[in-house]
Amino acid sequence: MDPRPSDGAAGDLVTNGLSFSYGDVRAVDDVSVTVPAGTVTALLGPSGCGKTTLLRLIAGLERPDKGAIHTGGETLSTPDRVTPPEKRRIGMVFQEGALFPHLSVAENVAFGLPRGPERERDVEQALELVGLAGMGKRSPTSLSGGQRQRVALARALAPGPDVLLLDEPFANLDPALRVELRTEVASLLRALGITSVFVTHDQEEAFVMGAQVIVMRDGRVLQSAPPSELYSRPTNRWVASFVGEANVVPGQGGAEAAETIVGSVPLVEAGPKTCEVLLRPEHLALDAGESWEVEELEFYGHDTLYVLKGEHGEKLMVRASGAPRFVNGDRTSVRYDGPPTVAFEA
Amino acid sequence: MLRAPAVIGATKRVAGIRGPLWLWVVALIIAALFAVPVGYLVVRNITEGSATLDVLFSREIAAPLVNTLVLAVAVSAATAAVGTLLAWLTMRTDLPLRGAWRVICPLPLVLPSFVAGAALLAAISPGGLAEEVLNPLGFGVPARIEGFWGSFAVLVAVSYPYVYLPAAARIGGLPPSLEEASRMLGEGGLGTFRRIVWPQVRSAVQAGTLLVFLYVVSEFGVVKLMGYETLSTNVFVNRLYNAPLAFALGLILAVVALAVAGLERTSASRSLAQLAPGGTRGRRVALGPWKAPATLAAVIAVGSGLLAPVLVLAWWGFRGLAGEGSGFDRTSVDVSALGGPVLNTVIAAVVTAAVAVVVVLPLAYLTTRYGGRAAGAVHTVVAGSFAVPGLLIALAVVFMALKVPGLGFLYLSLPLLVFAYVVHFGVQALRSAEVGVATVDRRLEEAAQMLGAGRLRRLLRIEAPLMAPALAAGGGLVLLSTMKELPATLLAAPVGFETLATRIWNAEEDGFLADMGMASVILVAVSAVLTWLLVIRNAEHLR
Repeated sequence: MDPRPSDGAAGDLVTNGLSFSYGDVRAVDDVSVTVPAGTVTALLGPSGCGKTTLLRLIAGLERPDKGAIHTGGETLSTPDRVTPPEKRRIGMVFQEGALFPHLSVAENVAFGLPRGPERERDVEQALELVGLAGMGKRSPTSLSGGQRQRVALARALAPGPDVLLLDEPFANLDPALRVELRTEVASLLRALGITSVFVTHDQEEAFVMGAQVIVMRDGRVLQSAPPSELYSRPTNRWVASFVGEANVVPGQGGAEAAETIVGSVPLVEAGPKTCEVLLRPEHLALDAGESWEVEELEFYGHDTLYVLKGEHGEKLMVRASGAPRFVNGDRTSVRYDGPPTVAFEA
Repeated sequence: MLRAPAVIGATKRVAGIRGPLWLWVVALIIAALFAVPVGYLVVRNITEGSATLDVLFSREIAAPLVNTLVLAVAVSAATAAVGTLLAWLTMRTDLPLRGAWRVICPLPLVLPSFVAGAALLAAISPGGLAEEVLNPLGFGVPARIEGFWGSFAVLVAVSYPYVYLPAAARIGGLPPSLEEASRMLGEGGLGTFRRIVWPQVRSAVQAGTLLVFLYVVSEFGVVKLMGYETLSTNVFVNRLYNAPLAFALGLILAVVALAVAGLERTSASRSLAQLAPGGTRGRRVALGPWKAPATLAAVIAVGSGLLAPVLVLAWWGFRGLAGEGSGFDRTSVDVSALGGPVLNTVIAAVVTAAVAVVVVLPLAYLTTRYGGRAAGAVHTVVAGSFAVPGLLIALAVVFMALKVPGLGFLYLSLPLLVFAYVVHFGVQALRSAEVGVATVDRRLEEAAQMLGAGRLRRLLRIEAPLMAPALAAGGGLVLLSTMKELPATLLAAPVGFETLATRIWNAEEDGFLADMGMASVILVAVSAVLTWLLVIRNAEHLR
């Protein structure tokens, strides 16, 4: 391992051994991550895992107990010295927007801009960027939830920050709007090429938004990888289940494959002798047979999810495209029909 | 316009007025009674005719009017600053022990202002605590604190909670993320207060400040003790040998008070709709090197408004118990002699509270259930009587009993005193009763009715139990105010009917400081318990 921690000279945002406690609760525990410059990193974890606290540490709203935060060769936070939030050039979009209710939309966006002749133009440009051109005179209270988050984004982007932080910005929106807005924001952030950290507890959102996804649990970072790698090669059983539907079955590992209840399954690297093997439901295929019984099935239109029961009561989820080919009570056999997968220490 | 809700059981209706007729008749009679004292004040001034006009444009009016306004403006400005600063310190900074400060800061409310004033004077009087503490240190004791600055100091110390409470509640209701967002956008701590916090807290501070203004305009005890001439002291002094002047001064005082109250209503503290829940979590402003001065400021505020006065009074009182003489005729306390005033205080306050709750109930039904402009007017009359200083209400009812034929039997009687109290403090019961009535769901009554319960049974079994907590709170507030009321009691109480408030007052005037200290300690203790239960414990900013 590199004995000299990175100082983020290339414009990356780097945390080194960052720890923070609320009273006795260690919210962030020895976290070292790198957010590459110009890309979006999603911070994914269940509620209470410390992801929002990590964001607040980066924002300068909290002082770390241990560790440091660097960006662009500059040290932002150490336990002794914290650059105040207003001096960091970091923008933030809060979960509930945090729009100033006594100011108009334009005044909100203008808040972080220096006084001058260009101010008005910059505000209009920022509003245009988020699709709210001409709405400057409105009051935040008269806007819909989605519009408020757009204003919050425009306000955070207007001063041209080095880093943008987004704290579950779509959590309070209804599902359809959430999907629409996240697609839009994802492409906007990519187009702007701004270094961003996006906090979410929603796996789908993390995958859509992040070029890199950092999974946190109980204050610790479990894995940090691009979405496709995170899905196909999770480092442990918990991550495997958290980022998608997963069957984890016992197996006997070998150099290239593991023997499991559904036969031989290829591995990406040699597995331990006694192991647990990850089988994604969509990588299993059904044939007529005897060993499994269809216990439940749910038809989703584009595919069908089967829950199978084995001879010893074990359960298996299988996702097959198209309409159901079996009914409850049918007997089937299962085989693995997917790419090499991972095995965990049992 | 919305259709009037169906009134079950009430058959008689008058076009344009919603609600049963009998309720309106009762309510209008009660409202008329509330209007009587001010009405008499106006009538007296009209009947005095030219005498009033002469006085109105004379220099005798100008000086006390200016004095009153100058004091009120100065105290309001100072309390606005102190109250807002303390609210911000306790709600948004890393002030040590801020949880405790949130409870402690409103506590000066328990101290009647005249008791605080008397305590200050007692502290610096010969043989007082100030001498005992300062002389060994080589300092002299100021001979006398009086006039404007004496009144100013005492009134600021005891009335800043009127600003602190609404300001702290409002600041606590602001989502912390607003301030954080401002910091992230490059604004510093002070700028964030100026651009984000203050614009949203201003209306609450204004409402509290107007309340303080009203409080100072109505003030009698402190300014009299300090020898500062205001409208109220002049009314008091002139009432016996120059009644026309007293009534003219009283009318001006009432007009000033009502104008301020009206202003307070129209500028009613508006809270902006927040887009996120408020709270006190989140980032605190680090006071850094300011931590010590800020803590000192809080200590001084609460110390001068509560701790020091209580200490001084307790010192005199308990020294009196020990029977130590120090050159005064009476520095000893006969505790048994306080039994009478305590009993009288309890009787007057309890009767007033009970009468107030019963009397305002029909009004509460009217304003809550049926509403409309006429009901609003009834509410305004009752609320207006609270703005009129107690001194004037007592003055009016006493002179009425004296002058109006057939009312002589009421002159300086307990019922007259209770009447004055109820008129003055009725709105406190009314506001609570309105809350109580609103908590009773009409459907519960309808359900009871379908089960065969008549009007009386519904009132006793359904409405009364549901409204009880609100009614008790309203009665409690009236009880508290009545106990602390000085000028109305001085003017309207029966001869020989001494309450704790008048006992303290008389003992101060006679220099019986031990007696005064003991009576004050008792009054403050009872007031503290009631204030804690009714006001501070339920304060919004503690939630």
